[in-house]
Amino acid sequence: MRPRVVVGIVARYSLIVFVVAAMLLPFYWMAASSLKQPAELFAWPPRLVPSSLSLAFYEKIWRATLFQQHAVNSLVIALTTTAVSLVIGTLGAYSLSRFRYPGRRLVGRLVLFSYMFPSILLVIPLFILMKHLNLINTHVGLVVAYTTFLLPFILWLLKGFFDTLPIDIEEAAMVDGCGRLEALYHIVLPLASPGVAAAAMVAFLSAWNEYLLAAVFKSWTTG
Amino acid sequence: MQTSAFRASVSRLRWSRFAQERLLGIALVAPALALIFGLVLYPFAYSVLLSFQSYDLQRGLTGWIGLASYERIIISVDYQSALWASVIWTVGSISGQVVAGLAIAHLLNMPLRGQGLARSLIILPWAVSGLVVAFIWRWLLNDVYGLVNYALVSAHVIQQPITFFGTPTMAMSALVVVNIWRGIPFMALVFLGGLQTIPHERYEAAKVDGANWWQEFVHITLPGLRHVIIVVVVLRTIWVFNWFDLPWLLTGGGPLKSTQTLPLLAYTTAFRASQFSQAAAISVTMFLVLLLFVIVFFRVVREEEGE
Repeated sequence: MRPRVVVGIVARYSLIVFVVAAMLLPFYWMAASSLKQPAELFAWPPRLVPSSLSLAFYEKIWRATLFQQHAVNSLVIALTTTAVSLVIGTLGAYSLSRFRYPGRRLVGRLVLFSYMFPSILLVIPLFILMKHLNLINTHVGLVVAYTTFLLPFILWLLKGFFDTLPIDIEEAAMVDGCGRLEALYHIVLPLASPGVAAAAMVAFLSAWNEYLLAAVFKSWTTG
Repeated sequence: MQTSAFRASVSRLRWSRFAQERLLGIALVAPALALIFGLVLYPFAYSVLLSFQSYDLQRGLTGWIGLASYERIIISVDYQSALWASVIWTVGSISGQVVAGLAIAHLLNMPLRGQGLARSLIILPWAVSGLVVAFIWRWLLNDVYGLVNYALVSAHVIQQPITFFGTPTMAMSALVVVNIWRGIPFMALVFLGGLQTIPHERYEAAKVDGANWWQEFVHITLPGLRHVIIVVVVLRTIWVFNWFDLPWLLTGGGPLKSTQTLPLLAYTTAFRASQFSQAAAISVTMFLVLLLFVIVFFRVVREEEGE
């Protein structure tokens, strides 16, 4: 191979390695720092690789902080949000995909439009609304709010997915006496499971990672 | 043989089935619609109304004040600097992400081994929450113990460690760079998808005509990616402009409010100063700025298409 070509290939591989490293190194640093002995964390010069691994920091958050309770809260809220938004979203998406009723297209556009609304714009009235309903600092309040923010995306995602599934199988089942909802449950859902799984992951991660709403709803009680 | 009575009863049966189907369809989508109307559209309308009235935490809405909140915020220095901070934050982040995303998409599109692995590995900054990103980088950019300062000083790029969060310029730069880092995976992967839809023949024809890589980029790649770039830039601009988490958690709006973007200002106005009407007014102006951006942007795009 000509040297120029070799240099070109080496350069490309180096660049890719560099990019991947740039994206991943901060995470490595976080992981390595968390596994260091406490004294080594503030060592100068900083050590890239811990000289010895230690779970001291993990023990500390587990024992000496409210980590356990907060983790449980996050998990419960994220799981509940996922379940609720999937149920409401699947039924709604199925309706948007398979049924005909006046205003159906308008609903679809409205849903997409509301997807673009910023949370900060909605957070203030949501806070007032939740305070009014006494749902501040409750799991219910957050689950309801998160579900609502997730619904436009889930409806859009699942509707698109249902649209790609041929209607023949459902129609065959309905000829055999199956009702609409049974067709949904026994036929469409199994076929749509990749889409539903993707929606579930998005729902869980969004609820798990969310910060602003949780901070606002919490801040009220601690004053 | 069918009598007319029989036909009438059959069609009535079909009609009621039809109506039943419709009702079921509406019933299935009703909960979703109720939530969206109740917790997205209604709050939005409420925000707008709230910005024209005074609000007290104990007594609720206490009367119409017209444009008073808007007047207060527009003349306030905090609002003007927040608006400016938002513009720098958004423009800096988006342009950086687009440029870097395009470059990396090209890199990932090349026929090299391990591309699949590389493509899935780079997603990590995008996949984690703003909070994780903020804390990782606060530690990396620490002025005493941070790895970044250590690397820069060891490489003799700088003499003294930089207090990234100590000066307005450095803090905003750090914020923008971190956001670029965070947004690159999404941009790169979306552009990669777009690149793969451009037919190879165009590049081959260009090579035959003796085009160099820059000409190929300007005349084949960019037009081919046009729609993808437009959609992505609009959506991401809206999203970055409205994003609260990263600026709040990385710099807290400091030092001296230099990195306090509009979402942060709205938050502190509402939940620290309890000025809900002004906070609502700030949010409404945010929405209007974005609306203006979308309108102007699409007008510019349409003019280009018309040529």
